[in-house]
Amino acid sequence: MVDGILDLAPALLAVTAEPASMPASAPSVFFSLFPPASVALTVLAVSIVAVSGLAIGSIRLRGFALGIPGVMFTGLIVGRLMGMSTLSRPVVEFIRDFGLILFVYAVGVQVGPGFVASLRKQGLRLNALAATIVLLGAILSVGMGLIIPSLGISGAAGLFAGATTNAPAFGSAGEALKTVHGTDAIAIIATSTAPAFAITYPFGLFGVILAMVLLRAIFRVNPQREADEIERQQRGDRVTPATMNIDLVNPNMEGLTVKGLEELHGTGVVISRVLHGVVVSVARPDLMLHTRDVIFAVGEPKALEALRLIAGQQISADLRILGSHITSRQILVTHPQVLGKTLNELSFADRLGVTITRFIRGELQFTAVSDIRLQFGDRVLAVGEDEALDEAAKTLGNSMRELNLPRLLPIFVGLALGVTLGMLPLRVPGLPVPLKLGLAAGPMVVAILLARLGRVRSLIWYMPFSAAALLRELGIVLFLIGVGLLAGEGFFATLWSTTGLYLLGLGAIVTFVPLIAVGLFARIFLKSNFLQLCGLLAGSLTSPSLAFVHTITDSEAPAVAFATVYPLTMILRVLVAQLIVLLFTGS
Amino acid sequence: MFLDMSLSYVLASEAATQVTTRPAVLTEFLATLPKWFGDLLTLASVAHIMLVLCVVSALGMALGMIKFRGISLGIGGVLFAGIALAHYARQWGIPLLDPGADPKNWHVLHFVQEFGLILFVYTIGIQVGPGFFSSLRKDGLKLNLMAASIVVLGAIIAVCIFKFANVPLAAAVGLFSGSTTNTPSLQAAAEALKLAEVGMADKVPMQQNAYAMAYPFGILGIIFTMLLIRGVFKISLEKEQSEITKAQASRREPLVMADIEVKNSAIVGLPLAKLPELQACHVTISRVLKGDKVVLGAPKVTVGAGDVLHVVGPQTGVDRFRDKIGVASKIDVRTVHSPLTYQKILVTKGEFVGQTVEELELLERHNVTCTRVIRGDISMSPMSSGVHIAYGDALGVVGEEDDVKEAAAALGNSVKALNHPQIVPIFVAIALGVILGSWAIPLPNLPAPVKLGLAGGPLVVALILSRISKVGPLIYYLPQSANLALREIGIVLFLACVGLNCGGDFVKTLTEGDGLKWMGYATLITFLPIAIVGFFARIVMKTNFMTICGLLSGSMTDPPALAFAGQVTGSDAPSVAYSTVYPLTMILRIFLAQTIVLVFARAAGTVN
Repeated sequence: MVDGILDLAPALLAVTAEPASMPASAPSVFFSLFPPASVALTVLAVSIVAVSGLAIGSIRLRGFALGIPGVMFTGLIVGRLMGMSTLSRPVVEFIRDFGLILFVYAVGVQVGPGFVASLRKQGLRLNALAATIVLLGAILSVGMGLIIPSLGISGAAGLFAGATTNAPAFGSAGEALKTVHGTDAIAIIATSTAPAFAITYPFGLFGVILAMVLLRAIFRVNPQREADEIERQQRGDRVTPATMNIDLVNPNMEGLTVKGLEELHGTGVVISRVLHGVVVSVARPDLMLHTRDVIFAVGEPKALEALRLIAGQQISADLRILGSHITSRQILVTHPQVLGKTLNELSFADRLGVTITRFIRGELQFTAVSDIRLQFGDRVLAVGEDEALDEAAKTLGNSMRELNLPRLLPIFVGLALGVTLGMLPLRVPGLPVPLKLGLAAGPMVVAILLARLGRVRSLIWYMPFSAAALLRELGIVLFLIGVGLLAGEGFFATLWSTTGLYLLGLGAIVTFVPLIAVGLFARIFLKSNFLQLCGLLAGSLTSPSLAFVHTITDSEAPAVAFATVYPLTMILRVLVAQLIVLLFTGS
Repeated sequence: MFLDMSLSYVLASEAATQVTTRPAVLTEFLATLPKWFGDLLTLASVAHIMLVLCVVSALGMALGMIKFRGISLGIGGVLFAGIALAHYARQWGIPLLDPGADPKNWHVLHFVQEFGLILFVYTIGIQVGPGFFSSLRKDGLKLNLMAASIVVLGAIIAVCIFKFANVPLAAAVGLFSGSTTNTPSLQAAAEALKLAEVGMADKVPMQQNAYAMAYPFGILGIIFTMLLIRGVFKISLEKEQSEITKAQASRREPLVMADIEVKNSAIVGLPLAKLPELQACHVTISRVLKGDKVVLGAPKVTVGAGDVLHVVGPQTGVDRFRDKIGVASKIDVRTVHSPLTYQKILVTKGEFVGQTVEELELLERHNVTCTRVIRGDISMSPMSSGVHIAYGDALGVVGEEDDVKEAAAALGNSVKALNHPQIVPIFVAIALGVILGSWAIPLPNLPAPVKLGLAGGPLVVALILSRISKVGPLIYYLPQSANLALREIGIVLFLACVGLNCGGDFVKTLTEGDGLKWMGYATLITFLPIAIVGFFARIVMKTNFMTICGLLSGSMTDPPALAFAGQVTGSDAPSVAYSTVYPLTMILRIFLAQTIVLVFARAAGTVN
């Protein structure tokens, strides 16, 4: 059997011996319109769960809303009311896993391009913290499993997965149990792992948020100030370009070419226009400069200042508004031919008389120094005469339509690769069974790699922002609906038992203690930024509670931290869940 | 009366699983693979289903991209990739999602098929909805009547084929759907087959096969017809294009700017609001140059002799207004140094959706004036009647920097919000659509009631909701790229499932059965109606060629044909006619396919 999550679902259901019967009071008119197990009924149930769950999720209590996880709770209720014989079980299972795959793939594609950069800068520290959270959780769970005989290691694995809201970890623990216990596994999972998972899962969601709120209160954090601080940090290493008009009063400038001047003090400045006499022209690299020419330069303020010191003095007149044929224009990079090339290789300045001055990638704007490689969806600010700009636009693509095309072929190729990778057994020396990335981590790893590559021949792995966002949200909603519907029948019965409450308590400890411990440590000793910390906490639980952070700030910082630790945490959690079972069973 | 949906598949599967001798070469090959990979390829699991669907989709889309003399299968390639894969899987004895291998597969595949279709029609409805109802009122009525006759003619031919050519009913409706490349009607007819008469349910694969056989010529036929009309009437594309551009321009003139120096002494001393014909000309005054100072064009600013007004409006309105006020000025007021700036502000707060610009009270609240409403590529004057703000519109606003910022904050102006797709409205619409689609509409003399079905229901709901655009806190707007992504995923999944479903029998039907004869009949259903109506439109109605191309593609609800029309004409003009006739055609096709089945099912039962 290859698929962990799928196989565990019946076990989750089997928690209660209660038969799943159609409610006797169900109006027959309803079922004559929507026959049991029909697609219409399934779609209707899914939609109703989604709508009611998202509605509940959007209710705000003192600034806190449940958000998307709301659908899981309405799913529990609808699942309880309808039962799996009315809805078709294989279909609901497929919805859940399909949603999960879509979600992780879309997250991977979005995170991919910036992932390596963020990993290089902050990655080590953030990931070390996140790994600590994972390991602390594992230690706590194993400890409880060893001390409390009724819980056992199989229960501890469920606790570990549920308290940290990590369904793939649950799946992989189940698979490990199967290899250890063989055919008895289903029964073991049904009696200890699955209930532990299902009961501790809800607090796993609240726990993160509670930890964030608590940290915020302890340190009296002002979110706005934290956001400003992060922005300052980011500006520190990549400053938005400024412009300067410089009168070349220095006589040494006579006879120098534009290229020569640009290279005079290293890189970082682009000269786009030159005023000679009364004529403004495009600053072609081989254009000869003369004393008293005025140049218009774009670059970081420091670099501009350096240039001014060499070349002459700043003047207030602006070459941009002097009457001339030269205009500037933003051009979209969409043509497959130019992707991955540098501005140097395209030699716009020599060929067309167009200089590229700035470079806009996402929210970031930087000076167009010539060794930047073009990516799909970048925008460049080009300066030149109208016809030349038209020509440049043609070369670069500049097609809004291209940009908005959904490009499904790469998505399907990526998903197919991801599913295959997820099923690939990885042999780890010393472990009795190979580890698997599973349906969650497989597609995500593939998506990150592909998004990082940018394109493979004519396949472009770029997804427009709103398309990726839609797939991500649709995916997580479908996933949580599936989880809720499937767990519905067993959940309530277990919750109202003493074991249920007892498990809930244990789960709360596993969720909460590692988060608070690492949070305090990071804030006190590492002086971590609060918003980053929130992203870290959410990411270290691979938890959708990231959305909560966005209710207190507009900053992107939490999402970046989230994405930085998410992949490693996800993989780590999947592996650790298996390790818990494989290493400690029988001890 | 209500059969379990899955029953038909199980029935079909029992008939289908006979020949399963795996070639020795293949068995050896499978044995060389690592066990996990072999299992992934052959055993039923979620990963297996995902893999098969993704591979079929990816292969199919690649197949659809191959261009032969400018014509490609487009999304239809997925259908044939599914057929090919299912065919070889059957041949080689790999239970690739085969019903006999695991009935679980069929539940899932059936769900994916219908869910895909629902996503597809929902996104189509959301996109064409806003323009559909208004187009019905204008010359759209004429176009829609022509499109409707195409549909009805096709249905009549299909019925004739069933009656006189001894083709089974299921195959005839399959041909009707396939030869017009209309997938939702395929689904609707399949449901009707299950309801109509006992013993018809197992005819569904036959219907799907007929559909797949008719499909290729459905695409080719319409393209052929466009080229035929173009050749017969020796149409000059430039002439047609300029004609249609002129027609469109008169409907909504582009906005121009002008600077007018006040010469008419009669108006000196009047406040701007009282200037003659300001309203009638649809112009707005954004800035006024008084001496060397520029002030905002607020209504109470009084006009002095020699002032220069910077106005925005349609060319005719601006000309008329200038004649009343004075003469064109050489000064461009925008370039005169002043604290005023111009900015485009996105409306991304729900409470303003549906209001007119006047109701926003931008001037009273924020001291800025709005000069244009920009929707997609079109700029509209805020003064022209009937301009209601839609979510995601941009307003061109003039004012002092701080005021503009304030107005921006009030209106939302968040690209992030605009790009962030709303999930809740999608599910609300799908829930309502499924309920509406399942509603049984009893028609007299029919054995079973007609339903809009899982395709028609969500389509109608999406049309209405996107027209209303806002229901309580829910905004029916999808960013373009999200809409396209969802739509393509939907149709690709749908076609992949249909292909996998009918692929096992396809080649057999084609070579051993009546397949070739069916294909011949299908060309009639495709070709006759569009040729007749196309020539009628050109000869009698003198319709523009661009519009005819859009009409023909729309009446077949065939996006690849529209794409081809775009290539043939080198213009976007066909898409206007396309989206005008699309919704009505879609609904008609869904209803007609069912009606044919229900009306003739009893007769069919006795004949066959």
